[in-house]
Amino acid sequence: MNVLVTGIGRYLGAHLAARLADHPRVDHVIGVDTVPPTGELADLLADRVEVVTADPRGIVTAVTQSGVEAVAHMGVISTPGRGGRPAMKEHNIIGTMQLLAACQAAPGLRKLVVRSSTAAYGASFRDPAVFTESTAPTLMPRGGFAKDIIEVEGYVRGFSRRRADVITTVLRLAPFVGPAADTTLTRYFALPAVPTVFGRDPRLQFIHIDDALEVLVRAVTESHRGTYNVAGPGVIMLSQAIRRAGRIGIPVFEPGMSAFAAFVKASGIGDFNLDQLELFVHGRVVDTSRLIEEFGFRPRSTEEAFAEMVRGRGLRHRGGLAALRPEAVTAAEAMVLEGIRAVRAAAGGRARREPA
Amino acid sequence: MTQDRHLPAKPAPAVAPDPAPAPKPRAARAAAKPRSGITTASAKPRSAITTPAAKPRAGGTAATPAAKPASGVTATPAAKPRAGVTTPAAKARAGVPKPPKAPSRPAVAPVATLTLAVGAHAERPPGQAGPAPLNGHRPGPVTPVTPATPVTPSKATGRAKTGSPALNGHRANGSAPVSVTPAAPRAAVRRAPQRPTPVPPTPPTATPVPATQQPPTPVPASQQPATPPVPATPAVAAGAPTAAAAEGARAPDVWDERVAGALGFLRRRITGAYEVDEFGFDPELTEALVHPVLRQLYRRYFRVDASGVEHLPPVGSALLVANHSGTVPVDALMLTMGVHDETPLHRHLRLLGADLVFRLPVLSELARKSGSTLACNPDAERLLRNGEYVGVFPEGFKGIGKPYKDRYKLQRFGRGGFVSAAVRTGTPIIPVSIVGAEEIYPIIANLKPLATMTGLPYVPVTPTFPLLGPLGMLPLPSKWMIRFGAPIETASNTLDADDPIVVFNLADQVRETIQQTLHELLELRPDPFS
Repeated sequence: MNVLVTGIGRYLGAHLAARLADHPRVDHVIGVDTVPPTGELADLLADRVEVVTADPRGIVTAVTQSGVEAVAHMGVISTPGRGGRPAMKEHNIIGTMQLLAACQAAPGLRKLVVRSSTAAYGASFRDPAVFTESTAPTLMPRGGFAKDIIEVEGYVRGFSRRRADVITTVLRLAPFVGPAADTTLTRYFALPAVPTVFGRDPRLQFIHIDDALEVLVRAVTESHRGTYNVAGPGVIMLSQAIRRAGRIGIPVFEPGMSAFAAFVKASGIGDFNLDQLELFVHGRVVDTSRLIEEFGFRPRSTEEAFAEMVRGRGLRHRGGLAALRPEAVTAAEAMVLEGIRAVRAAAGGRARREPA
Repeated sequence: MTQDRHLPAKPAPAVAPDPAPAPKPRAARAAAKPRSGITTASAKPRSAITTPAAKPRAGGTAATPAAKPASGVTATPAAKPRAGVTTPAAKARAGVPKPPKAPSRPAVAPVATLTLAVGAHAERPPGQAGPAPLNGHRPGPVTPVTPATPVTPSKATGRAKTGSPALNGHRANGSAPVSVTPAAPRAAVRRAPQRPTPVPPTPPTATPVPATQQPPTPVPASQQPATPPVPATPAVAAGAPTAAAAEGARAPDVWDERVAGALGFLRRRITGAYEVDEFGFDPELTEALVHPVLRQLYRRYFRVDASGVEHLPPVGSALLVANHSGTVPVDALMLTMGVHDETPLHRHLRLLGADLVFRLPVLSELARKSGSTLACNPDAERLLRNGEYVGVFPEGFKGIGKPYKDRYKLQRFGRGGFVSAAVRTGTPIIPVSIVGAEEIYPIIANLKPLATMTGLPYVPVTPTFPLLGPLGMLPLPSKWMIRFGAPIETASNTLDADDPIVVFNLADQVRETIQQTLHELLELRPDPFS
């Protein structure tokens, strides 16, 4: 089977291409993107994947002329790059439209796998606590990425209607974490003091990056039609995650949050945008039973995935307060307990002597 | 502090060191137990606590610090006494750590005991930890077993005499009980409670016995003093010099347990080592912080009389449908408290709340953490499928914000979404009638313009509210009654959740039942503030 992977200039696309190249049922992998993979990613792909760097039109030619049987569309980006939001939108929307147009014109195509995101559910206070694949967003999300995702999914639905012979799989991925992954989210948890929204403690879900790749590989090499939530089962509260990472949360009032986000971005401490903001107000939890049943694969739970990230990136021991490390807390607990016992013992001793 | 009074006498007997060489093994074993994954109810709180202390001091026992958090043991502590099996007796015993006798060196004493526990535990063969669920305490019957794993008395005593329990390695199993130092008796005592649970490996037969026994022996503090010389259980006696045993029995130290429990709770909160479910429900937080407050309101302030709890299925799901009133949803909170405290398994009621709750900061966070979720069919059905009790107030704002003159008149039941949720999941509907909430904030007027401006469903004027300012926000102490009605079964094939007739009929039936019961309850209540 020949597979074309888009978005190989980024972590997810590159790693998927590499894994597919090693897969016994895959003969040849073509990786395309508008930017070439660099550094580690280039090394990862060397000798295994045919890398094509082209603008969207060039990608179309690659699809139609290479005779691929499966296309994995990983080229939806979640954060604006150098071109800012307009470039991101161009890349996500126009890029997807072009790719789907090419796919429609490719007679040999059998499978299309699209990387989507749980951001497709939006986030609002009127949402049910747990999203299943059939839940529609109650409010149009404000974040750019979420809007793009919803639009992309719309085009993909249109495509699957027109090309019913192609097995179309949409994977809604939760935010990734992993020991090696460097994402907005992992950078967020690496901040010494983590901004949160006052009075809100959202429920979060993560997917371990390796599990996400595993699901993607299976989607390409096996046949799973439809939409699937891909997330680690279970839930972690933001406050809990912050504590487990040994950080301190700094509550910021919601109205001032946008300004705060802009400030943080401008000052180069980190970047987070409306997508994350909505997530951090309302949280987002999805039902993964369909994935587990259909794929026969159970991703690491959200808690485990997060714990691995904390361990892998050494968050417990880098930054944050030393006093919040579990050993320190445990020691403090023991100390206080002993102290109280000692004091009570002394007091008890006195009490005893008096009656005597 | 009755126990303290007795103490002076005790130390002396304690000195008689090895009356029971045999017992030691037991003590050791008992101590060991908590660590082994099997924590018994009684063992739990203690084990959680002990380890940290032991760790730094013990030095040698490297495994402990890391192991502790990892091994399941940490989570358990005292915080959830309800969880299960713990009989009050068990709890009390667990708490044993009582004030050491020797005030002069208080610090040492605890250390010694802790370390002992660690050492002992190290020796214990892994296999032995029995599931020993409940328990324990009265290992009495078991005693005979002990001899099987005897520890040489000489060794033990020798160690004891050396006197520095703190430092050493108490690896020897039994040294603890024997030690002459004041700490010793304590150590023995502490350990004693744990001991019963895992029956020593040798006599399998013995195990069952203790289990059966324990329930009857409610460790009452009063009892113990009475039988000091005959230490309640032979096991105890064996484990430690009689005096110590007696003391231990007599001195369930509630406060120490509480302090340890609170600290453990704090640690888990600080390190994030707790679990929430997919709805954001945090049972530990709810039971530790929310329930104590609500319980006071429930018992003391509103003096709630609950009846018909037997109508709730002990296990599995139920949809509780109740009338809503009171301006502020205090009735919902009291209902959760009632369900939790009155049901034998102390189950949590998962409330379905209005959008408004989840729109507001702080409130939304609290609501989720205490088990509520948004009132919508997907959430209701998911909770019911998970086998939860779900509480719903179909009147919504129409009920809670109605004027006082309409008290106890049920409002319209909305679209009956709750019925379709129940029918789809085959869950019985329990009609619940709540009397008393109407009087807590009698609404005499509604400031509609202000409500429109702020986006609130109503802005009430009560006899006290704007008038007395914040003081007016104090609810009036009415007398409450909650009655759980007979379940209305929905698990029938003849019912179709998508048939509007079915839905409306069932909703009407529930509504009628609640309305009638309200009238009955009102007859029973002499006056609203009795």
